[in-house]
Amino acid sequence: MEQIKIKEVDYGSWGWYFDEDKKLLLNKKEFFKSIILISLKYGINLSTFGIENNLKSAENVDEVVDRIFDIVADSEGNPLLKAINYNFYSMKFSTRIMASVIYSKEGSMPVKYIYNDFFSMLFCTLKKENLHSFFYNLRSNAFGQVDNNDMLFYTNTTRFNSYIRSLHQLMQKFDASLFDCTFTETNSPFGISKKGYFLDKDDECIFYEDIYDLLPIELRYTPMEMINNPMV
Amino acid sequence: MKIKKGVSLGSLEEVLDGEKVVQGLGKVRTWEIAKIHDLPSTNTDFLSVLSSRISNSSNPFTKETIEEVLVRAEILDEAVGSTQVKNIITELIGDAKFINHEDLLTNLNSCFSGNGIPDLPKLNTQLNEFCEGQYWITRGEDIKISKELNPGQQYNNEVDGLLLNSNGILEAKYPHVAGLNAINNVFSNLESIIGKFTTESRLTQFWKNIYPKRYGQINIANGSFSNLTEPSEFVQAVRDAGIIGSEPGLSFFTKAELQSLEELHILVGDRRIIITPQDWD
Repeated sequence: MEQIKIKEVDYGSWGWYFDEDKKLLLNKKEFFKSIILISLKYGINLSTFGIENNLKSAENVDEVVDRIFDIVADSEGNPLLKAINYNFYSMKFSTRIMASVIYSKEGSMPVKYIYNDFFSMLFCTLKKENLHSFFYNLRSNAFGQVDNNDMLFYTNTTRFNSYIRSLHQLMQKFDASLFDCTFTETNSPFGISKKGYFLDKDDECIFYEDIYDLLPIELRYTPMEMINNPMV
Repeated sequence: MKIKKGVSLGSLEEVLDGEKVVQGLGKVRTWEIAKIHDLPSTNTDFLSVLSSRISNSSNPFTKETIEEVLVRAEILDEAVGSTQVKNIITELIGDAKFINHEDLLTNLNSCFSGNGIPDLPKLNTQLNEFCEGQYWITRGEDIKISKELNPGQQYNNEVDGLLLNSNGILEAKYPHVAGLNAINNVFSNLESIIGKFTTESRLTQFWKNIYPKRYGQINIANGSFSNLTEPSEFVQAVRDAGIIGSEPGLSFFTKAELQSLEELHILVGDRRIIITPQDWD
């Protein structure tokens, strides 16, 4: 596995904000399940609980959702907020991990590995006791690194774009009223769109579905084919 | 030893004492280096500290390294249109309480992206660590700034500040994500400070045993908390966001984790608000 040199810097933030959370709380399991499925489909911000409990496919997502809600049920506070925290909390490392699939190169060979990001964060906040925000702070350059290899750049950034697009669809379904993305240019050499998507050298936003069939087989993240987009 | 006419080498005793002659020559060399690089060459205190760095037997601050450090500082300054980097480097190398001059080159190198272009977020993060180090020097600390305690190893144990008199470790953050996400960006950085002290791969127990006191700093550069004046206001904001709990894993922070910091410094504008453990009660 190739080690990525990390400087603990904020690279970007995606924040969805809710005026009211009734729909979220009424359908909290559906929302939470979608978060896990979107992550599985694109290999971004995978469930740490799922990894540590051998969740490998979409088939046992319902079981994981139920187990996490059972675990958080006995403590005080907003259940959805607690479930999301617990989903990314590692019992093994006693901290939150945003684990993602990254394609890189070892010598001339492409390699796929799980990158355990100890610096980035995904969490929710409350406002007047209501769930107010769903926030993702990216603090690594794992996705946007160029390494003079266009294929790897597209492999990683387009998956990331599709992940963010699915989150947009999910948040829209649950009545998020505001969104903001702030990004540091240095992590995205070709810039970022207003919706928070990596742009390429032609200033275009490409999604994983656009290029998947064009990728060499060793650079295809196959769960994308097998998991239906839970938001469409 | 041949003594040239007209060259004063001090008293006869000094002339006869070879070590002092070497010291004298070292001072001349230091003065020359300072003069060439437009450092405070008439400031005897500065020269004295720089001279001791140059002659440091275990970590000599060589002429070549000094040049490389200052060239990088000037490139970074040019990128941001200021003299801030060179100024702070000059102040640090002239201050005996700044201990680790041997890391300056590595730290300035980390402010460039892979293709050699200055990376402003990394630079601002690094400058924040240098400035915070200077603050702790004013509090009487001998300090190592931006120090890898195990360089080259899998767990390099990089710390933003090693407070040598207090036996403390400092973790400094520079949240700069502005707009709607600014407040959450500050919370995220606060969690990252806590995570530094609770994640073995970021800081191993070995070093936490040697330097048991924990200090945090957040230099808020994203426009949020602009009216903050009291510790209680920051504590209340964290509470209101519903992210403090009692159980690890379920809540973003636990009160115990927040109280494990001897001091959490929040910098807003020109104000420094210091939050102590009892403020979280």
